[in-house]
Amino acid sequence: MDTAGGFLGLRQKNAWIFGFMLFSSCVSLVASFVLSYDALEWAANPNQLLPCDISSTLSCTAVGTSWQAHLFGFPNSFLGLVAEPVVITIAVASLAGVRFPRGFMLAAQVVYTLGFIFAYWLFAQAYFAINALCPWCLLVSLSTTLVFSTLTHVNIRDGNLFLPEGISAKLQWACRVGIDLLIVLVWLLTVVLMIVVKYGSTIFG
Amino acid sequence: MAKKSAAKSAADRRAKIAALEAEQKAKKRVKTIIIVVVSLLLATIIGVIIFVALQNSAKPDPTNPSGETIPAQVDNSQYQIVFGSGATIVDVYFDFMCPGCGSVERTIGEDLAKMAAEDQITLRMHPLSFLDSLSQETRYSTRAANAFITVAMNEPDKALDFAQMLWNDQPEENSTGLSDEYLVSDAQYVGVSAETTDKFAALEYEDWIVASTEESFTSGGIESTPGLKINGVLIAGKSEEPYKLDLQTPGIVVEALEQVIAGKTIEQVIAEAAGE
Repeated sequence: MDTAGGFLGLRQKNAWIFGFMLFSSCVSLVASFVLSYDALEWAANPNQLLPCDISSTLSCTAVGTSWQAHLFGFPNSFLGLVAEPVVITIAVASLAGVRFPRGFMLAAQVVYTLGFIFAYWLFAQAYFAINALCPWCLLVSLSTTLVFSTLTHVNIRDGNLFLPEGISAKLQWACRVGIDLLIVLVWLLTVVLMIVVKYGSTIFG
Repeated sequence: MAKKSAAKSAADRRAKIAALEAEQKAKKRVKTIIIVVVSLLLATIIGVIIFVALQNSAKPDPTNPSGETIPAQVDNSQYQIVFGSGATIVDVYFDFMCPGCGSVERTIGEDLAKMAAEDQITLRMHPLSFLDSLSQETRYSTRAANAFITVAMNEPDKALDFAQMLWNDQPEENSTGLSDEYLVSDAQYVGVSAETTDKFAALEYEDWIVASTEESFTSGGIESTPGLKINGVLIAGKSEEPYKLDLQTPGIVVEALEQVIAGKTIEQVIAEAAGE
């Protein structure tokens, strides 16, 4: 009866969850920074190509100059610059042993869920409407997914979401047996499959 | 009483063990599902990649999709359209949506076309499409470049006149660009046949333009447009550097080219122009 052993056991440990959250949020911060920097560069000189403009379909300028990329009137990546340091702080403090109040973690969950939805709304826009992908935006989508999944995992595990006991217990059970891992893997691989189906010929041509 | 609670705690323990065993079972089942589903998805992804790669290698040359003989004016190895055969080589990199390109072309375009027609220079035109995002999703850069290449392929002697028309009618950035009908009427205005303009809509050279854009920004050494090279020396095309010759004043470039043709190096001409 080795309930705590193996990878599934490790996945429930603070060190793993917050370590992974720290890594993912750092990646997301770097990608947001690059996108923000590029947005300013491009604003200064619109007649130039950016290093991430690999082709007409794999292009930061095609995505970055769309209205979707400035939904709130400024480059979306600024939001990443604001939000990711908060996640980094939560991860580092938690690694050091701090336990945040449930309400605080719930607030973090709500805000990050909005960010997660926004990230995939943007991905859908780029995929279906702009018809171009930007490598740094994809990195943001990936890291946002990873941060969202670890944050959700820890909040379910610690019962931070103020859910009825029955639902909370069921979700905790699902996390313990690895159903959340299954969902994240299927999600990410589906996104990869979508990209390969539509852009395979440009990327691997 | 004591007996009852002992029985109850034994039942509790049994229930706990049963729950733990059920959980272990569920873990195993989920693990199997993960392995199966992830393998299936990975196999599909790899399958698609292999399929795409095979299909690409079987595809006809994107630079010559119809397989027809290419007139000498279009050089596919360098993704450029060549006019004239003079010893002095002028490379022009442009996007039909770029305002700077329009202003330079309206200043020097006709002079360059004339010198190419007289074989004083070899004019190599590199149409690019990287500003496609600035035409409200109508991809004006690609449409205009495609029309230009189509004319160059079919009626090369009218291509530069057509380009000049497009510069004169250049749309604003972030507008919808000139319509397809407008491109056709501009082409017909300079004498291009309906047979040629009928081919515009097919965007036959789309891949060529993508390749030309990549080529120009990588091995071409261009960072921004307008880009201009004389005998390989970059006069314009770096985003942070000013033009090395005045491209906004009529006559300056022609004069510089004449000096190069007469025997000076382009570096000397640039240095002298800077000294004045």
